[in-house]
Amino acid sequence: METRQFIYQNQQWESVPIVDENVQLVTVFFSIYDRKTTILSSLAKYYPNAEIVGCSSAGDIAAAQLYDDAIVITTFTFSKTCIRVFNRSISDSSLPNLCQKAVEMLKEPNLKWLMVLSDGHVLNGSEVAECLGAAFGNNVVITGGLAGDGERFSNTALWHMTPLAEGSIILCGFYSDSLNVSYASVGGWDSFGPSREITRAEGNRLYQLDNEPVITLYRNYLGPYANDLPASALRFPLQVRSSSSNQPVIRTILGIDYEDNSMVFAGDMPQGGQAQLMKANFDRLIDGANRAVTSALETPHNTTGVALLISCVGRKLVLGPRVEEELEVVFSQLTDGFQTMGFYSYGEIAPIQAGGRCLLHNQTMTVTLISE
Amino acid sequence: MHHLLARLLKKSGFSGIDSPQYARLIGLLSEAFEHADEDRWMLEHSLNLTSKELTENNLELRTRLVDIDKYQRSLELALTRQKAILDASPEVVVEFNISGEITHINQNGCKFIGCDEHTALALDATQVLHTILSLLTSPDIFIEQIQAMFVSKKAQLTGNFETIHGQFYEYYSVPELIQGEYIGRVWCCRDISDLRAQKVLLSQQANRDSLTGLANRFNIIETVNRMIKKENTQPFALVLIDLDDFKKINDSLGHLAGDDALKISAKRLERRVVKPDLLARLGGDEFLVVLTTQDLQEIHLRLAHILSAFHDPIKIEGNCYQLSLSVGVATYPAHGDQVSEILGKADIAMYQAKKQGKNQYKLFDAALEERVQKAIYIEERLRQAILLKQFELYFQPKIDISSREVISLEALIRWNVNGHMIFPDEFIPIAEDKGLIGKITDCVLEMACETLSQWHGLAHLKNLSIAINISGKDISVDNFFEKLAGLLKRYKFEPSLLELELTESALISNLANVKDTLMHLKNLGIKVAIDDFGTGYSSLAYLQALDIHYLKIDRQFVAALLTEPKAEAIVQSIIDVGKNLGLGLIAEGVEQADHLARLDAMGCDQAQGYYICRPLPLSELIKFISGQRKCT
Repeated sequence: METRQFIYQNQQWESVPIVDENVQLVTVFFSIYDRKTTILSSLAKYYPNAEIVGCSSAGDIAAAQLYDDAIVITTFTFSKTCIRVFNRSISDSSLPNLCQKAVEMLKEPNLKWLMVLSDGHVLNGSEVAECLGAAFGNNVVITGGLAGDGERFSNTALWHMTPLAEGSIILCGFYSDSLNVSYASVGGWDSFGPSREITRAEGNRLYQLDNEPVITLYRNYLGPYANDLPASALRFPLQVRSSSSNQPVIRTILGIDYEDNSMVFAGDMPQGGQAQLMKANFDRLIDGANRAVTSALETPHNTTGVALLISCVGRKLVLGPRVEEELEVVFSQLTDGFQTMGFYSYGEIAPIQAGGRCLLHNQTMTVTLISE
Repeated sequence: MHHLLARLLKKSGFSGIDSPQYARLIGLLSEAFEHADEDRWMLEHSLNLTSKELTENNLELRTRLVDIDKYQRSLELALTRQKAILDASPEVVVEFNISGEITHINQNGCKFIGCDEHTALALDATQVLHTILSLLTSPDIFIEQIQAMFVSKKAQLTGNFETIHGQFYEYYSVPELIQGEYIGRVWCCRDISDLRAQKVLLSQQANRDSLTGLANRFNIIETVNRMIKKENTQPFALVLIDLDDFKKINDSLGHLAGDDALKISAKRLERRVVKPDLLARLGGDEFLVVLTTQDLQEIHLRLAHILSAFHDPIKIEGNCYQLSLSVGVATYPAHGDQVSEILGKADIAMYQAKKQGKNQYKLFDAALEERVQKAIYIEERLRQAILLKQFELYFQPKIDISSREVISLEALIRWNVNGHMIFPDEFIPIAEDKGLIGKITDCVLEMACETLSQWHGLAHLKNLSIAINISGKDISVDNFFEKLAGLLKRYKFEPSLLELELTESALISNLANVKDTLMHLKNLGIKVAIDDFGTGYSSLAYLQALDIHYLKIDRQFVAALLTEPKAEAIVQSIIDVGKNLGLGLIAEGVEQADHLARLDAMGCDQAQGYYICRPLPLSELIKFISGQRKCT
């Protein structure tokens, strides 16, 4: 496996890509606001035989560095691995139908890894993860994330050769008999304060905790930072436990609907369940990233490979200028032969444990390692 | 620049603050300082808020804890009271959990199981079941009774069981449900041994006659009812036995002796009535035998056997009494399919037997019933008629034979039923039999007196006398004369215009009192005639002894007057005797002109009969008299 990385920033390539007909796959994560840039369209010229897939982000990752307002592309040339890409918008079919179509097109015995990039604004990330898990079963490793939109939370974009419609999903299948895949997803957040009952919620829309409007709670806790809502609410994700499950999940805010006083989260809010505010400090978050990569590295890999890092925009907000520390700690664990790529997302998708069903996470560093 | 950074740089004597060379570094440092401040502020702020929230929650929880403590205390109190109440209960109360172990048991429950509470609570389900079943006389039946509980946990059970200690218990068992979920079961068992014994006693008392120990009326009627309701009921006969003249023993020797007579009779009957035939005392001196046959010959044989029990006299208080029985028999299904109906018919037959001279038995027959039914009907209507005064007087004129002038009237009662006149021979015998004759006589007397008083002021009627028929029973009533005197007082008329006609038999049966009676009547100024003279005793002795005014020659002699010389001789003799004793003579049943002429020739004073005039209602009578007087 051979990879190369190119970064476009300040309206120019740091090093200009060169035409390569052997490249099979190009990933492109873009944090630039201008989505109509011709840069993305021009990539096909350099890699005429490659599948070019990617999404907008809240920050792009290359090596141990974070790039804002940039485009990071990574090219893949495999020796024994094939690539097949599927994309579809929910405007064409329902989510379960969409997943079923994907199974029909992608499922093969040697499908080792399914990289998922999903719309992060229109789609409910929990439903996406659940439907994919149900459609593909537990034998296929599914990891990836929801596209981001900086700290704006207005709309996200997906790319597969061309811009895709709102509400789309890209599934990129990696077929091989010799591809090693491992992954881990760790948060590093701690719950605090009283546990509150979710007294009113619909889907991923939360209205009330303990019969009080949830916005009021956030305004109290954010103090002057309430002015920066909804982004500032990322500092306090919710640990959610449904009444039927003991397994807590972390849910981060995606937006606020001031018309009906609700907050939209990157996953379901089970009415009748319990929610608890979470907080993090720099060290706990950085330690979380470290634990994620350490866990992923427990699976043996070759010396060359790729690390796909998908980290939550909430972490970026809390870590602020120290955000690259979590990238550095991951990077430092990897051998020199590993190319690091990824993005800050609105939600991470991965199973909670090896062989498990994939789930939507929030506020985690999700690491996927592949090597041939 | 962050103030702390600025201070540190200043303090350290750093000189490159404004140098472009360090501008980016200082900018990043300042940003890091601010970010740390921001983060710290956020942490402190959230900790403060959390602390406040938790303090509030804590306070609320403490308040709730106090409340819970209070509830717990009141709950403990309630439980203690409940336990005391259950312990005070005479019932056995046991609560089981879902596994069948005892969770609560009261003191009587412990006594029942035979161990203390601690031991009872420590028993496992099998031990509990074994312990309880070992106390029952019929554990298998009990298990069968509570089967519903194993089919549905929510079943409610009730039933009885007997313990090996001879006690009877009634049990109720209900499930304990919380929002429909089964959590256990409560059993209440009540010792009903005493109640049961009392019930048995009461049942015996209710079914047996306390004097004779025989089945009582209720019992035998229930039994016969059951026999009738049974499928393929065999025919049977109800034999109603009445001791003749039992009242005499009671009256002469007292009720205790009467009771002895009944007991002896019962014993004798009991010895003769062989199962499956049944014997019961209906009450008073009435017994009932149920013969399980309707074959007349068989009934005759069995009855003869039973009645032979009374061949020998019974001995009471040293005196011997010969008891006799009147017996009526009716059969099922020939005489009815209801006990009351058959018994009623046996009763009719029994009265018939009694009427026909006692000491015999009669089988019910339909013609007899018809007569009885008619008599019952007439009796009921008569009672009504007396109350409503539905009687009317018809008057048959009596004429002075020589002048042919009406001088007297015989008042004859008619029963006016909705315009239909019923003649006395249809209802007077029933009225006499049922003791109603006195009241009817009262009616007649009152109507006659009223009529006489109304005529008192009328010139053409005021001298007419009215004769009324009086029976022997009437004059033997104690207050007859008081009533008569009362009427004379109330209705103003000449008492001699009222005549009472008495039959010979009425006089003879009461001869001892008759003298007084006639004396009373004479004192009141009322005249007396002897009715139907010549048909009864016709004793000349009493004609001499009694103070009477008229002899009425019976119609049979008058009818034969012209054809039979003997009849003529008798009539002549009566006329002669009457004349000699200074009595007026009245011939009844004059139906021909020749009769009248002959009687005139024979010296008879007065005559009445269809030839002269049939009995007339008042209005027609007045017309008749007016017409006759005009003619004369």
